[in-house]
Amino acid sequence: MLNGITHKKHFMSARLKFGLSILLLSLTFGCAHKADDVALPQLEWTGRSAMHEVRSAALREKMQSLRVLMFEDVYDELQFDEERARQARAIAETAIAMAAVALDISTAQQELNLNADHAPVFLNYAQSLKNQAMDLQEAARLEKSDVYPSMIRDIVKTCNGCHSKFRRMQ
Amino acid sequence: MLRITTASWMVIHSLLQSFSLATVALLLILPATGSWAGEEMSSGEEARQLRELMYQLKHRVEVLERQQSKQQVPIPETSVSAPSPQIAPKKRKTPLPIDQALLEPPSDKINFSFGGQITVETVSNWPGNQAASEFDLRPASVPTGSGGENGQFAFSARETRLWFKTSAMTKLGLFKTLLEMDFKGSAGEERVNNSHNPRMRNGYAQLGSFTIGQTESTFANLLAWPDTIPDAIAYISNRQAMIRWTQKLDEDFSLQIALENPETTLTNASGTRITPADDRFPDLAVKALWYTNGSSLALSGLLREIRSDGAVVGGAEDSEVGGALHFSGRLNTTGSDNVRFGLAGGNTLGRYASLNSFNDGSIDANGQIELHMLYLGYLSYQHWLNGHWRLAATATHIQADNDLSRVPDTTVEHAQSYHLRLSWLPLLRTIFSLEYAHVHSKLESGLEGQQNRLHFSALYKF
Repeated sequence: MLNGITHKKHFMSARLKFGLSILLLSLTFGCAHKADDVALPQLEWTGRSAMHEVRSAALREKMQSLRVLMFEDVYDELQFDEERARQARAIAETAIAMAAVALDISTAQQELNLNADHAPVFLNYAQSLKNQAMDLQEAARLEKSDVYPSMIRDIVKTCNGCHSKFRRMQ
Repeated sequence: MLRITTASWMVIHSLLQSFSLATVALLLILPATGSWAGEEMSSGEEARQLRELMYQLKHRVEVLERQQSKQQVPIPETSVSAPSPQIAPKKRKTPLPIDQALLEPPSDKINFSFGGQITVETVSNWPGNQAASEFDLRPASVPTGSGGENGQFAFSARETRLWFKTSAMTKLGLFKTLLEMDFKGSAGEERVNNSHNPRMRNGYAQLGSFTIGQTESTFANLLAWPDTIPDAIAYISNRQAMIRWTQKLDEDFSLQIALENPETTLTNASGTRITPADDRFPDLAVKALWYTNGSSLALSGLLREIRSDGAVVGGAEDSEVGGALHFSGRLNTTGSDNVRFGLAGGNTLGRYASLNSFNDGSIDANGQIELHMLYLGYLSYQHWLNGHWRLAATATHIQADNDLSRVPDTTVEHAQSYHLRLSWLPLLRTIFSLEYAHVHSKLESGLEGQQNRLHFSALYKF
C-alpha cells in the first residue's frame, strides 16, 4: 500500500505532468480542428416558418445522432444495424412530416407568397422529399445500413435545393 | 318426466364432451384474438389501430408503386416483332408449388458483408502487475502491498476484429447472422512474432424475434456501456450461448426473455475458484428496453441455480437459487452529449460482472454453498467538444458482501476506477483515444492498493 502511494507520488511528479501536458495539447488542437466532415452534408437556409424550423432542428439533431452512433465501439455489427435503422427511421419520419406540411400547397403559398410558376416547383421539391424519405424508411425497415448515407445525402440535397430557391424570395 | 336411458345418456355424454372441448378451445383462442371480455378494445382504440393499419398499407403501396415504376423499362420495338418460325416454342414446365421462403428477388436473396477493425493499444501502468494482463483492469489484479513494477510499457493489436454477416428478408422477418472474432484467444509470445490466437466473440443468428447462438447476455445493456478504452472495474457483460425471444410491444418498447448457458463459480476456503460443471438448468435472463428521443433505459433480471456436485467435496451435493437486477440507461443531455449509467445488485451476479472478478458464492469443507451479494454502479459522461473531439469522464464501483467465515481475507472487498478519456475522431470510422485511469482496490484484510494507467488506443473500422 505504502509502496503504491510512493509510486503514485513519483508518477504525479514526472510522468503524469507529461501525460497531462499531452492531454491539454490535444484539447487545444481539438478545439482548433476545422477538418471538413464529408460524411453527412449540413442543412442550409432553413425556413422561417416556426414549425418548419422546429422540424429542421429535429432533423439536424437526428442526423447528428446517426453520426455519433458511428463512433460507438462496443456494439456488434447486428446491433449497429438495429441502432442505425432506428436513427434512419427517425430521420425519415421527420422528413415525411416536413414534406406533408410542404405538400399542403395552400398553406405553403400563403407562407411563401408563391406565384403560379413557383408553386409547381415547390410542390416538386416537396414530393421529392416525401419520396426520398419513404425510400429511407423502407431501407430502414430492411436494415440496409449501407444505403443510408447516400439516401440522407439526397434528402439534404433536396432540402438545400428548395431552401436556395424559396428562402431567398422572402 | 324424463327417463335416462342408455341412449339418452350417451347423447348427454357426447354433448358434455363437445361442450368441454369447445370451452377449452375458447379459452385458448380468446386471449390470442384479444376478444377476452376484460381486454375488449374501446372504439377509439380500434379506430386508432385501423388508422395505423391504413397508414402502413398506404405507405407500402406507395413504396411498391415507386419501385415498380423504377423497374419499368421501355420495351424495344424488336421485342414486339413476331417470333421467328424456325424456333420451336419451348414447352412450359408446370411450376412446382414450392413455398418460397425468401421474399427478395433472386439476385438479392442474401446480403453478405465482411468487415472488421484494426486496433492498436499501448499501455503503461504505475505500478503494474506481472501476474495479470497489462491491458485488462480487474479488481484482483491491482497490486497491493509491495507488489508492482512502475511504468512498464506494452503494445498490443489483439483487439483487432473481423466479422462476417448476412441478412435476408423472409416470411418470418429479417434473417440475420453474424460471426465475429478477435485475437484475444491465447496470448502469443511477446519475444517473437506475437502470434495471438483468434477466438469467437459473437456467433449468432436472428430470425424475426428469435436469437440463437453466442452473443452478449440479455442481462447486459451495451447501449449504456461506459465510455472507456479498457473495460472499467465495474460493468455487466458476458458473451455466451443462448436462445432469446424478443417481443416488441411497440416501436420504442421491447421485452426480451432468454435461456442462457449456466456456469457456477464458487470460492473455496483457500480462496481458489471452483467451477463444478454440474449445472442442471439454464440461466434465465429477462430485459425490458425502452427508447425515448434517442435515450434508452433498460431493466434486466437474472434467475440462476448455483450448483455443486459430489466431485467438488466427496459426495456432497448442494444447490442454491438466486437472482440479480440491473438498471441501466443512456440519456442524451445537450447536443450530442450523453450520460450513461448502470446499477446492479444480487446474489448471483458473479460471473456476469467485471470479468468474473467475484464468484457467485462460496463453498465450505462440507460442500455447502452460500451465495454472496454483489453490488456495482457506474456513471459516465460523454462530452463532445466539437464534431471531431470528445471527452468522457467515468467513475465505477464494485463491492462484494463476502462471508469471512467461508472465504479468506485476501478476497477483494471493493474496487473503484476513475477514467478520463479524450478521443479524436478525424474520419467517420477512426478513433484515436488517450485515457488516464486511476484504480483503487481493497481486500477483506484491509490491505489496499492503487494503480495509475495511461492507455492509448487507435481504432479503424472497415
